[in-house]
Amino acid sequence: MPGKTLGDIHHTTGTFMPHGAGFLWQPGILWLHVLSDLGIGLSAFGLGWALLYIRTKRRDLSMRNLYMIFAVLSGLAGGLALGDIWLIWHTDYLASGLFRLIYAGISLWCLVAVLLTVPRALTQPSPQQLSQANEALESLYRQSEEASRAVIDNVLDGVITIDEHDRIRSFNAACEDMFGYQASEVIGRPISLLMPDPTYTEHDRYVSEYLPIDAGARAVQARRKDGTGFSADLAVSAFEVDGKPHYTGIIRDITKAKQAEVARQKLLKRLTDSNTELERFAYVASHDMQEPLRMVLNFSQIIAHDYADKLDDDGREYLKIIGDSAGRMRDMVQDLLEYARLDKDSGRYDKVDLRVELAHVLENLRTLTKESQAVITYDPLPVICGNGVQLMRLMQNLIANAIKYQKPRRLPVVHVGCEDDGDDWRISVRDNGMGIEDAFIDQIFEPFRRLHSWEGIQGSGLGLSVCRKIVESHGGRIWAVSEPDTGSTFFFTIPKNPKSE
Amino acid sequence: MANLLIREGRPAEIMLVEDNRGDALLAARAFRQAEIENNLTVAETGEKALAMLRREGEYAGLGLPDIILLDLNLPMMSGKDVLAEIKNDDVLRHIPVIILSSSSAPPDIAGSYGLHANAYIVKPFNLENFSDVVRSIEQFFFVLAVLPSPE
Repeated sequence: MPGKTLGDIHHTTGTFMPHGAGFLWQPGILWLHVLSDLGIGLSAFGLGWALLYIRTKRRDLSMRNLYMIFAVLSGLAGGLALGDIWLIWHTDYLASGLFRLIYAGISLWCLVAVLLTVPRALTQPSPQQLSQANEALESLYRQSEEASRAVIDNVLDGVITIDEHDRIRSFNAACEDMFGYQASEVIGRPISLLMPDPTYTEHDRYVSEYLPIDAGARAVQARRKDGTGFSADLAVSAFEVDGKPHYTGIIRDITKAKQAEVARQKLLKRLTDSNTELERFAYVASHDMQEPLRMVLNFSQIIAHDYADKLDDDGREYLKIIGDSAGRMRDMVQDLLEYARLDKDSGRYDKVDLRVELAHVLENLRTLTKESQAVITYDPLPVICGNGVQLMRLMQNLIANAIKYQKPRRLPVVHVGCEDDGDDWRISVRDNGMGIEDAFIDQIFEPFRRLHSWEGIQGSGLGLSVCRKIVESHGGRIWAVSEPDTGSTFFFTIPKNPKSE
Repeated sequence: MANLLIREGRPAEIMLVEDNRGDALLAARAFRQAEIENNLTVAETGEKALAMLRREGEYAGLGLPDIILLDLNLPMMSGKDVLAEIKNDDVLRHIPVIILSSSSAPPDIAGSYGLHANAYIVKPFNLENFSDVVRSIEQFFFVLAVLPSPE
């Protein structure tokens, strides 16, 4: 109402004056305020609405309470601006004050709320930080994916993934080499493409039974693109993608391994054959050599018996040499025969009481023991598992040696000892004989290795070879320690629990 | 040496099937020294032994031996074949057959008894032992055991 006086105003409003009176109702100032307040009010409402809208649409935003707070404050500010326009013409100062009070209260509350979110707001990563972190993660993921792809593509084993419908999902480079298919040719096609039917049904069952991951590899038959089959080891493990079972098969072409195995078996067979052949040869040779030997021996005896008086001393000595040599050869042939037979007899193991076997040995050696006046003592001996005849022969050879290889005019003293050596029994035969030079101690177990002239001490040269073969076929070891002129000790071990044959 | 077979009052008839002349001589020598008078006939091959036993051709006039000593290791027909022929022959199977072999291999021994050999003796290496063997055969088959009469 332009042109009003102060009195008019006082009159109109009673006690108070509207703001317009303060502007002296000058239209310029008055409309400046009205338009400014209108602009503030509308834009504040608009701002509040915009904040609310964002808040409703972007539920993923962090600190959404702040949006609400600023929307409310904007709305209140807008209301305040519009109220100011009203106050230019009206004097509702009480209502205006109350409204401001509410605004102040809410503002204070907002201040508290904002202050409370300060620590969080400070730590909140900026979108730039977030995007950097995101890039780092993506790069890491790419690297790890490239690394695993590099591994999967370069690994020598084939790696195939199939889904729950048995369709191929991945097919690595090794698979391409192995099967002759490109990955693009098989992706999406059924696994039966790669496995001939019998194995496929087995695979079906395998999958349906959902075997544990560590079920291990199984031998399967696989099929190449050209239709040829090959043997492979297959290990399957299961995993889930979006709740659906998938299977990874690691497949290895074992054709070469199989060929190598076949070659190995062939070689082994050839070796066994040649070994068997050799033993058979030794057996047959020694067996057939006995026949002419027997003739030489017998007829030299017949001549010595029936024609002795027709020979002179030289003739009789020559005849004796023939007979003795034939006898020696007979011993060698018989020992060779026994040596060759050892393998034929081995493998049939029973409980053997070594005390009983030692008693047999002492009985067998009675003549030798009596003639040499040997003293033989022994420890308690165990019951073991083995071939009784062979073990008796072993002890007999060792004890006979201990008596035979003695210096002249010294009485043989022999002790058979036994010690518990953990998994083995260690049996020893100790003598006070002539001993063995260190240089020869490893050679004495070789066939036909003799350290003495036959005239000095008789023997076929096979006794200790037989011993070694017996001990080794029982899974033990044999060795000797010796001091020349003082005596030797022969040791052998026998396992307490032999590996069953 | 002058003793005749107790029951028959005649020398014992012995057939030796042996290709090795040395062994044949040894056996002949041992039987010459035997207590019981005997005639030793040596057949060098299994074929000849069977022809003699069956009295074929030139052997038509021969009688059957009281015992047969048979070597296993023969040329051509083996000792085991000869043994089988004898034991499958109704006329010959009653004659005791003693295997004299240098083999002590278990298959030879078991195989021979399986073919109804009456004894299996491993040829001894020693001359003395050979004489012992012959003496034992003589004692057992000609003195102790009672043999069927020929024909």
